[in-house]
Amino acid sequence: MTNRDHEQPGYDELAELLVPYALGQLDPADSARIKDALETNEALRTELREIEAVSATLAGSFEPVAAPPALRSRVLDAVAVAARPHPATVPMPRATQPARRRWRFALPALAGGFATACIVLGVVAINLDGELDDTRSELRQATEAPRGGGAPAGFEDSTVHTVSTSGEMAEANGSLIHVGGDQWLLVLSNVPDPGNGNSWQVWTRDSAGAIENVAQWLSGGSTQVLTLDRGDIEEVMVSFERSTSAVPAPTTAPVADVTI
Amino acid sequence: MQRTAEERALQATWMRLVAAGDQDAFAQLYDEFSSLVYSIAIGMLRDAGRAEDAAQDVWVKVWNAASAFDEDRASVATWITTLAHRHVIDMLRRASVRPGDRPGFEPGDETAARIAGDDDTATAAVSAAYGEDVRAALLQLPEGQRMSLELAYFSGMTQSEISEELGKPLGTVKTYMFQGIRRLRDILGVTDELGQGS
Repeated sequence: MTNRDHEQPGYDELAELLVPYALGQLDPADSARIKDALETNEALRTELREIEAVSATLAGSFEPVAAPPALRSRVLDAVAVAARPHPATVPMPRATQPARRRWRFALPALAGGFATACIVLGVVAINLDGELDDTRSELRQATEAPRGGGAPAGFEDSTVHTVSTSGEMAEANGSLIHVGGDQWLLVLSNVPDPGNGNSWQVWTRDSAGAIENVAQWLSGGSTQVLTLDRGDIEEVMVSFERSTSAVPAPTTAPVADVTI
Repeated sequence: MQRTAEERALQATWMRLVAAGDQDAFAQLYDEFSSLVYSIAIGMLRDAGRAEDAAQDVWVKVWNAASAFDEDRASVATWITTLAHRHVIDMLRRASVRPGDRPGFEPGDETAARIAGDDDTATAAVSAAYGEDVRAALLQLPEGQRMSLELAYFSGMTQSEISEELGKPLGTVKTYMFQGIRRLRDILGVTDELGQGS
């Protein structure tokens, strides 16, 4: 660092932007100014490292709470399916797909396809220094279920049912994928946050008309993936509920629905 | 947060392996930092279900972004902490709710009992979950600096929102936060952990 770094015009103003910059709260224009200044000003870089260290001390100083044991397998499973292949190899989905296709993928191949979708969706969710911003829309196009129906990348040869969405989920889109046997995969993109104290609740209806609550999603803002392990499914629905616990029956009309 | 150079080197090695796709190294990293990530999530969200979802999201981000980790810029602990903290702030902002508004407290939870719903009380309750050193350090700050930092770090408010909340000009809030961080740095004895710079 040189003594002159502190004396550069506008240093104090830039330094005051470092805290929101470290918190990821700056608008793009100010963020770009900071990045440019950091390239040439060592005093600013040192200041930022110290702010990040204090920020991490603040954020990392909550009273230690052990993570629930079940979370470990949940996280490792999520990473296992996100492991390969690299998103750059994701094929573009075909423009149109038949409503149903005979399932003929071997399970490893399906796992690979699912991994592709998951890793891309995970990457899309990342917002580190804006480095991935340029590729987001392209990756999203390559992996999300097409609105007109059809399969996400990697599932072109599975039996795929397009989910109809409405109301609060009008902007969401997705598919119910019959992986094979009793295995189903529900993938919904652009799921909005249900808000404090609310949830999205997922229901299945079997051939006897019995409705079962199978999942509650307490957050949104991204893609939700749910595996279903049951042979007798005629319909899958998602309802908005003013509760974070499983309710015995839907209290609102489904906002996402797919009939098989 | 204080770790030896050997620990930091080992963790940086795990990160390089994770970036190369090594799931065993990822499991090591998870075992080392799972409590840290979950503590941030539960401390800020105060809801076990949301905290678990948040923690899982953070770990998937760690996996996907491992190649972006720069050991010359920050330690693994700082990097993961920053990732987790930013993610939870994003969750708070997306949900447009503040910590004290959230359900999920256990009956008899002393902290929960103190949360009445207003931001001041909520922020105070969340900060009560902080470690003793940080809590004591925060209390040494002038009120404006302390409140600005608490609203930014615990509630995910932007500087403009803090300005509105406190009824202070935006420029004043910027100064509060910058000076507050500097004072915390001195009080807590936090230094550039990689020993760079001045």
